[in-house]
Amino acid sequence: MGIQATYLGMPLQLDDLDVENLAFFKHCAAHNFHLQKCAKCGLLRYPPTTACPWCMSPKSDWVPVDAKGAVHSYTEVHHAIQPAFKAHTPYLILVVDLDTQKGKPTQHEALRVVGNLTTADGQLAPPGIVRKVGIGTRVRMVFSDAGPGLAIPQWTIDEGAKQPDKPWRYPQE
Amino acid sequence: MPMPAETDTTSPKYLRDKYAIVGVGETTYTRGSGITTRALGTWAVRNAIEDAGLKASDVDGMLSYQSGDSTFSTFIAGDLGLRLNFYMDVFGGGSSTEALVGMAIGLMEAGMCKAVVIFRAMNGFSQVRIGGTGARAAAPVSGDALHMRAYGWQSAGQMFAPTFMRHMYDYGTRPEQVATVKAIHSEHASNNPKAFYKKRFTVDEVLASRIICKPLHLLDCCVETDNATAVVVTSAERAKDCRHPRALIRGVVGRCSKPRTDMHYQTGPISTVAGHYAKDILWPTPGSARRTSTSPAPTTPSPSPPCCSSRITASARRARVATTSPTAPCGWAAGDPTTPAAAISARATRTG
Repeated sequence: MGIQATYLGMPLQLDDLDVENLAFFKHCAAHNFHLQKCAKCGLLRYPPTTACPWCMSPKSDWVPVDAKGAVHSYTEVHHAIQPAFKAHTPYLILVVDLDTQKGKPTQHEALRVVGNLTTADGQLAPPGIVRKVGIGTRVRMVFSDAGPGLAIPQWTIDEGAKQPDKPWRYPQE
Repeated sequence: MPMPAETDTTSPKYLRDKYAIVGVGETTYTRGSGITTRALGTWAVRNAIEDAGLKASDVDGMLSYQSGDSTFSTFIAGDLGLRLNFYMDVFGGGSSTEALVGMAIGLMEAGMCKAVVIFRAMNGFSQVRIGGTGARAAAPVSGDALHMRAYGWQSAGQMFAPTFMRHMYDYGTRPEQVATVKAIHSEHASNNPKAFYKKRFTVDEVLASRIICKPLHLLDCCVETDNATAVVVTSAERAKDCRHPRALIRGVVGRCSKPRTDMHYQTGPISTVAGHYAKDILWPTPGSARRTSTSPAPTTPSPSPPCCSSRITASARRARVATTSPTAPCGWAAGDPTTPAAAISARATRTG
């Protein structure tokens, strides 16, 4: 059976064999962010995988992770390709460095978690908010419900955090 | 030609100038070929073999790549009456042409084939669009794609846009520098009678075209066409008997990747792309050999711009000439971040 849901009119599917993704999105459905922690090297990883990309160990445990961080990079999509997003341009795709495990295993790594910029209730952000966000913006995770058993992790501006004076935005604006 | 002093000729990669590209075949670049990928591929392979001055019986290897959007070697070989000692159709895109040139060299080095033809056939405008428009864009989002397509993140341009952006942030790369890539490509196209678009664009015109996904404008994005292309690779010795002067292969790298190919932004600086690793294979030197063997992840990223990636755009895919070029394909990465135009257009000429 797996899980089937609809989000922005898009059919979303997870089948029964996809055990790591099923576990990940089961936590998301409860609006909890969990990642696999390697039983051998202790590093967290994203997205879910069968083995640890840092040490190849197949053993891991799902642990809760504080889902806050800063925008590492982004793109602002003005010409949507997927029909589901045509009504929502411009939308932001954010690559966010989590504070958790930032700088590990080397200074150039972080858990970089993807999501759209949304409002606090998980709706794709309107243009006025899209324009405020850039590299360095502090964000926190929220979830967009897609149906029973499935929610999509998203990012919203962290109102409680100290924000950079001027997050980096594409220069030609 | 003498070798650079720093070249490591003891490298097992050293097959420089032992193999050559001897024939090139193309179909017309159109939007609406009106024929199948099997027919396109047949034309391109036939044209390449004819261009080399070879007969069907001279070619005994065939390679191609695709992403569920094309025909297979068995059909092309059958249609042209080729009897093959080896054929393989691989899945994927990116720098597959270069990868297959390397495989062809390996096949011949292993004694499995004497001449190998490589083709790519696609109705890239009228049937399967690389950008994923049409049926592919509306397809259900399944499994691992939930971490990408569920966010409206699926085309090559969208996937690499954050890499460009972070490069700008880290190194101060300017929009006009990125736009220069297109300006130079259009200059090359204006000199190419086969190009689908021959109009030259200035950097300002690129920057004035509408944004697709920042930092990419309409004119930064690739031109989708229906066409097939093919090349024939054989040994430098056999190449002497072919129709045209040999294009000796001085080095080859393809499908080189950074760690975590599937999620490239998870490792290292995200603006360090495959080209960072590819350069050590293409130009093996004692220094780079040591670096490759002892330190997989650089601690100080070199400011190689995303234009060096093997996967950025289809226009970059078509423009890449590293397999046969005696000079660096991207002088920008070689150390002068201020003059990409001069570096990229170093060999561009226009007589009319």
